[in-house]
Amino acid sequence: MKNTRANGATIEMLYRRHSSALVLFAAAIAGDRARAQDAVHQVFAKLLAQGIDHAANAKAYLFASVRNAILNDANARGREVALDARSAWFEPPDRDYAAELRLRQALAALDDGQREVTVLHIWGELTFAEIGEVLGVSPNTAASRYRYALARLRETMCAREDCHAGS
Amino acid sequence: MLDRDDQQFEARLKEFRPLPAEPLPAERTIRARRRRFVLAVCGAGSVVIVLVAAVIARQRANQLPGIHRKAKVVDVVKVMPPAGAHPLTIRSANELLADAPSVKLALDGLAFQPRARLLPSGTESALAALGKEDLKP
Repeated sequence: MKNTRANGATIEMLYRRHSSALVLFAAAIAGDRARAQDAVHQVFAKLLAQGIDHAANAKAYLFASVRNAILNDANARGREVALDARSAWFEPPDRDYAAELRLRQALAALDDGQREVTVLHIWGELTFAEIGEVLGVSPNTAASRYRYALARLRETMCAREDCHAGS
Repeated sequence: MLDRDDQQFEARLKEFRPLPAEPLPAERTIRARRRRFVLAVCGAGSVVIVLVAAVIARQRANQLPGIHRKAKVVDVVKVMPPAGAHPLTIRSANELLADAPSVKLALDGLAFQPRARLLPSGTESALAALGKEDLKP
């Protein structure tokens, strides 16, 4: 009973800490924030029943579980998903919602692997080794995808907004 | 390794914070339960306050003089002094007001004035005797 409570408290703490990045990551794969939210809830409901003690790296495990849930769902639905441009993903700095839309469009323009790596590294705060673990690629591949993704994002966003000199 | 420009751009991207996720369904249930508990406690508290206020108001009403109390059905004859016992004076009126269970009964008592004492037969008052006298200048 005590262990169940402790486990529940740990999982709630993990949810508070990582849920926003997990939903963003899921939305970046699924394209739809509502489906992303459902997938994250589904993963945490399972964890509340089973526990998370078996995971060596809880954070990487959570991102991998959410990715699997989204991909299983996409397979079950048997169709490709497009990014939904209507729902916001971010709270932009200075309430610059136009910049938020530009960022989403720039992320949507990346290929799937680059988008996943970008979200995992910037907003999930995962290392390239952890990203490799989540995506099943080597850390070098993850780092390489990230560099390409960052260059493309800069190109897309700076072409549309007034970037700082040198950036 | 990222160059300085990439690091700056990375920092710029980190300024965009992912929107917060909805609470877990379990958390939502707990919050709803807490909200219901708080509402129930507030409701019970209000009922207790109303009841206590009612009890206090009732006790105060009982302590106040006759006008706030329910007028008891009292026989006016018992309240008022027997006819002809005493003349109506301010003192007796005050006593009557103080003793009567209600103002109405006190006023009723005051309305019964003692009758003038009857003189023994064969006698008459000085005023009557003087009235009969034939005064001629």
